[in-house]
Amino acid sequence: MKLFFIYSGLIVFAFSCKKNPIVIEPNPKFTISLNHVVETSHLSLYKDWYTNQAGNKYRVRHLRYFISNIVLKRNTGNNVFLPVHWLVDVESELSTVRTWLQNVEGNYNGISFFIGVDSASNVTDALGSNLEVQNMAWPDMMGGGYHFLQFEGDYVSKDTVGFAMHLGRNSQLVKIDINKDFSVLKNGTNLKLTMDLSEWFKNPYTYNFDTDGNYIMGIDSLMQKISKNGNDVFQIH
Amino acid sequence: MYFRFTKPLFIIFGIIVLLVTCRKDKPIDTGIPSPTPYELEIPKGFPKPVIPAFNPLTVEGIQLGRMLYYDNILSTNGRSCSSCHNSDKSYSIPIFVLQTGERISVPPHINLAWNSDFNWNGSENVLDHEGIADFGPEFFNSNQDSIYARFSRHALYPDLFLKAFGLRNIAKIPYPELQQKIVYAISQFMRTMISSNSKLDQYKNHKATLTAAEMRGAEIYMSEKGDCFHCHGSVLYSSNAFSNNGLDSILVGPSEGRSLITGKIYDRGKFSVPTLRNIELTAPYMHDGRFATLEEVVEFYNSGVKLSSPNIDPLMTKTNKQFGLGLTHQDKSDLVQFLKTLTDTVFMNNKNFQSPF
Repeated sequence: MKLFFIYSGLIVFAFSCKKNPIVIEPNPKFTISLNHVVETSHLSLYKDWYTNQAGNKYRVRHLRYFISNIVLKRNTGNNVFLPVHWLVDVESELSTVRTWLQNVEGNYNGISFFIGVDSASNVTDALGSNLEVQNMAWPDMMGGGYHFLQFEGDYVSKDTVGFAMHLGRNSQLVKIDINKDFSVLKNGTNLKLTMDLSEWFKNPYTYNFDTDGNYIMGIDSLMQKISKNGNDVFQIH
Repeated sequence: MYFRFTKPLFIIFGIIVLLVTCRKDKPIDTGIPSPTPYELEIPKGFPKPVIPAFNPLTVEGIQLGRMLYYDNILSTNGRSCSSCHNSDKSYSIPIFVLQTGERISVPPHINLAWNSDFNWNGSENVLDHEGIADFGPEFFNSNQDSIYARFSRHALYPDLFLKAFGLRNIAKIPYPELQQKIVYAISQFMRTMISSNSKLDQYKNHKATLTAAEMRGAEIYMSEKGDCFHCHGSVLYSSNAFSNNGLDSILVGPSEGRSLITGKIYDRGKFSVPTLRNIELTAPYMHDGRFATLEEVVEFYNSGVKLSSPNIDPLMTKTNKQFGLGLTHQDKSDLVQFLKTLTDTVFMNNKNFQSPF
């Protein structure tokens, strides 16, 4: 009997002699996931038609934007800075989620970031050679750097016409500042941010395709309207 | 008696189990040397190329692929890849007419290592599978027995296949596998065909100057005046996306474009955005070659876009384009001059891409 247990133990030991290394769990993850809606409806590309504050009926084909300089805010001033140049393309679900492995456990009372590329990095070729990033280039002849936002689709006027809301240049950086308590837990947290596209067309400016036009790139007065409207497109959910 | 033998049996069994499960795996020596890895030289500013793990670049694979590219050994009609992809036309030819009568402007073999889709409607999204269709009656009209016979008795191919893919005795390889390896080799070669040394590239690297006309053309290209950059930007001079640029107001048959592949209504009329590198050499233009010259292309964008085309790209119907671009005769000439700065004679004359025969 004694021998039986010895041999059984040897066999167990032999089969547990794995080649795989021991896996050490990484630090708790902090994830931001982005959700896109138009008022109360989940954004549906190409298909659904929406109506903006000016009464324009529109649908969305493309939505791409950068998020940069994320700050997790605390009343104490002990903020956490997450340096990032995150290119979001809503046609790619993977790009709407970003994870950080550093430990940011704690309580916060808000989050701030830019829609766009911070001025230090908003320089031609500064963000590397990835093709999707290159496709966001803002021509040197128009100031250089990157598109902050490409919001494209169709709207109905006398006929169905395209629109292209392209935002760029440092003066048009969109600053997001959300004050809401949230906690990042020890075992990981997913912070959900929701962009309401209807907000691009209002507050403080009611943007009307029929009177303002259906493209804004390079027109400072129009880019400024959209940039100001953009300050409250995001909420924490 | 039973118990006399169980003890040593247990010992032996335990030792065997211990040895077998804790042994590290060793590769089996086949006697075939591994192919030599080939590191693609990525030009400055280019994104990461698409090289699948199942078909890495090797010196031997590229050598085999280059030979196959120029050899009519694969066909029964005398054709090779180079029959439709001539070096003096940036590895394309003007038009290929399908058996259906459809006219295709042949896409050039340039910078394919960065393509995510192939053919005008993106019917293939893996370069290493793209060439399989070429064995069919439309292109090579290949004959299985003929391929086996020709390869087996060839002075060089048996050794080249062995070194590139470890394949012994070509005659014993199943035909689908042989076809796949042929296409893999050609794909490896095509991935090396990189163009990055046009006059415009040299200008950006401070090694050339542009004329006044070319500079004016660049301004039109890179601004809202011409707005070429949104689709033909990046170092590839293509977004690698699909777009409906308003060629046709009625979409029927091949003009349905990408939607014939995806079945999606919002892909109607979309075609692959081609690179503008070497565009001077690849007339005629658009998927069906309807425009004979760059001047005709520029005039199309200036005044000929069919705004009523179903699913036309929003960028084509911006306010400043609803009545055309409004380019003057000088503007159009300058833009054509700028487009010609994308011609890369270094690429055209690179002996590594030309026939080894």
